[in-house]
Amino acid sequence: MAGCGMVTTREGLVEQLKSGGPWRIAGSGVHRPFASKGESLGQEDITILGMGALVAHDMADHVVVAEAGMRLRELQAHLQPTGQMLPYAPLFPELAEATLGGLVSMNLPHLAEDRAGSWSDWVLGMTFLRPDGTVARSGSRAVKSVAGYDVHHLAIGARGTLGIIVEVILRTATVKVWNPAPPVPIPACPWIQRVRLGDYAAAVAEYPGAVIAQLPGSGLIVADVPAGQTRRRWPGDWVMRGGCGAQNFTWDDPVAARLFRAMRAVMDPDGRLNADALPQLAGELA
Amino acid sequence: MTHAMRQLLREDQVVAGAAARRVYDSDAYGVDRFPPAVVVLPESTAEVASVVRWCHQQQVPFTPRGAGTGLSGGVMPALGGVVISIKRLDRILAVEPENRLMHAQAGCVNLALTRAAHAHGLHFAPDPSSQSVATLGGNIGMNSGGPHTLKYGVTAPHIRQVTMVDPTGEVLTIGTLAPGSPGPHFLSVVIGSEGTLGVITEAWVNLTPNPAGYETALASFRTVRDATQSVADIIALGVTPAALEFIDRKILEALKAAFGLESPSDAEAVLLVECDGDPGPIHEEMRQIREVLARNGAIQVETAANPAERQRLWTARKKAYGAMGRLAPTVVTHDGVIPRSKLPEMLDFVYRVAEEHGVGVANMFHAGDGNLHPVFYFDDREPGMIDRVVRAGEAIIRQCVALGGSVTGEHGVGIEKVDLLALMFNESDRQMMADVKQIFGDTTLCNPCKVLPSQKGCLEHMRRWRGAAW
Repeated sequence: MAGCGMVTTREGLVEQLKSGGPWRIAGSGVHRPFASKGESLGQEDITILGMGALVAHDMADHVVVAEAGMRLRELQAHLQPTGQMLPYAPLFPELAEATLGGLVSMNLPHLAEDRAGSWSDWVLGMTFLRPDGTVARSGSRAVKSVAGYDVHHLAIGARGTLGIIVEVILRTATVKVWNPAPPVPIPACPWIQRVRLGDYAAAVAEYPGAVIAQLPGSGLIVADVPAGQTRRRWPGDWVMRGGCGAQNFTWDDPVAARLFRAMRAVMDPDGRLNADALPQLAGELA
Repeated sequence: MTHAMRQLLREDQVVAGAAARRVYDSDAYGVDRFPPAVVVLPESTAEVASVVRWCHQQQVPFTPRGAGTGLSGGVMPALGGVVISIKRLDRILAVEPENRLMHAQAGCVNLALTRAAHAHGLHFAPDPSSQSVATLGGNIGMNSGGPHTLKYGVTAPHIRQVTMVDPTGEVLTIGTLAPGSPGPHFLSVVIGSEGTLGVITEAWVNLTPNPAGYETALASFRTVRDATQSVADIIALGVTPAALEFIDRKILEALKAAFGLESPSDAEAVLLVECDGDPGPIHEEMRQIREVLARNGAIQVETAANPAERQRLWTARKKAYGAMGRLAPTVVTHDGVIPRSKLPEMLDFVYRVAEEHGVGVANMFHAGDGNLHPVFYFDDREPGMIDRVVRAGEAIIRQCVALGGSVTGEHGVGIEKVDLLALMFNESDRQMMADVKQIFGDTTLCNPCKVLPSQKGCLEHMRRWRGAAW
């Protein structure tokens, strides 16, 4: 249900986008602790919560199209009577209330990904509002396509920096046995680490009593690590944090950081959307 | 240019002359052709980088090339220049079963990866029909699919990290060895970029555990509709077979003529279905599938009781493309995707279009993905035939898009479909793709004129290569 005064149409969102800025894309707010910096840098919120309709569900093809402001719980409620689902098992209970746009943009791990895949397997297409208000699409309802560059896959984990995702096309699943690990309470300072499978046992042993969730099949460790502290790193691993401000996202891969800078310069040269999304860029764009 | 390349590489790594220009002027698409000035065969990332750096400095176009098995003209050197063959980058650098990873040079043949992992009970899951010759680099460039894509996905989910020489000659390592990415996954754009963002020289790939067992069945049907309806019903059931392949009567006739393979005389189509995994669950899956096949009037269902019989059932699918040469002097394979529930009506459309245009058509495809491969067979010496073939192909691709599908499921855009991309994506959509391409720098010299239409310098050259084979 859209709140009072909330924009509920794509045209309305385009108008709002063009009318001001810079903007911070807002959804349910569940992911906010994971956003980098966590400070607004003078941005105003532009919300997708008013746009959460189910656009289409092609049951025979196992494909659903939804506006990005739809909450995960709402999507599952639509799918459940048809015997289908999005096989996503939230890491934290609050994530059931997150929007599809937020979930895709942050790409936090979930607790069934070792057997059911994740967003990169499910997202077939997206519609974006680009920072200048242009509407652009990538992908299609086909479950297999190599037509053009996969912008919709680049947007997974891109923290809203390519544009505002307004619609997603997803593959659904029929899961007959569904008993994933239950969600865990969100810690003050979640530390999400991925390691190679061969390093997993030794990596978990580094967190005596502090591991909150683990998924050996996908090299995932979630622990509570106080802000300002760090833990042992492993060859080829990566870490994502929450609740730690500028430490939330420290990308230690220089090539990825360089490509990210190039991406911001090309896709949003004026820094109109989520300029605080990555700490190493926030200073440059402020 | 040849002289300059010989300053950078050994003499036997530089190939020029009329024969080389002819061999390297196209891939298996073969309709559009244009020759390179010179072909180089580097053996290391450093050698590739030295060639690309020279091209960048001299503003010479360059085109990476794997085994040349592509079906969309993706490695045709559209503006001439240097073809960089990765065929001699063929070493497996590391096998790490404990991490389920393998590090290989991009010129390794797809099947060589699986063979190298076999002793550890693992394999490289992407299995394009050309896997005995196609290279890893080519698979990454085209995001190749294959019969087992239905269950295991295309190439993208199986690649962790690539080493790529960017268009300036700089060596980049993109991706992480641990699964996923903490931010945008740039690798997801590089995979499937058809060699337009740089030259991939090495990759770390995922290895997948070999299934504990297989259940394979070959079902024959009296009508194409019965077969396609079975596919739609299996998908609607929510069961995911490892493979679900369709073959029609024309292909069966070609297989009989070429290899003596028999099938029921009243079969208009067959479906090859395979489930893999733990014996209990796959037995139950296959039971449900057999119910669907029976409900749709299957006249015969053969099942494999052992590995030899499984191989026998697969023979028809594996040898089908080779058998096509029996039907006519020329065959052109199309590639389009539709939502799977639309298969019955789409196949009716394909046969109708072929008839209306007076062109022979046969069908074999990855039915479970809705990925069509209508094969037109014809004699290209017949006046007006090429024009009819092109028009029939376009009508089919237009219908794929109209039904909510895609202009290409696995062959890529290449040069063949560069103008058809507009059927699926409007100018704003294509501009967003062009912007994403810019993230990787100035790519204008790197495999020019591919994927996106209206690139600088391409329109005026198009008439030189378009239909050059005819």
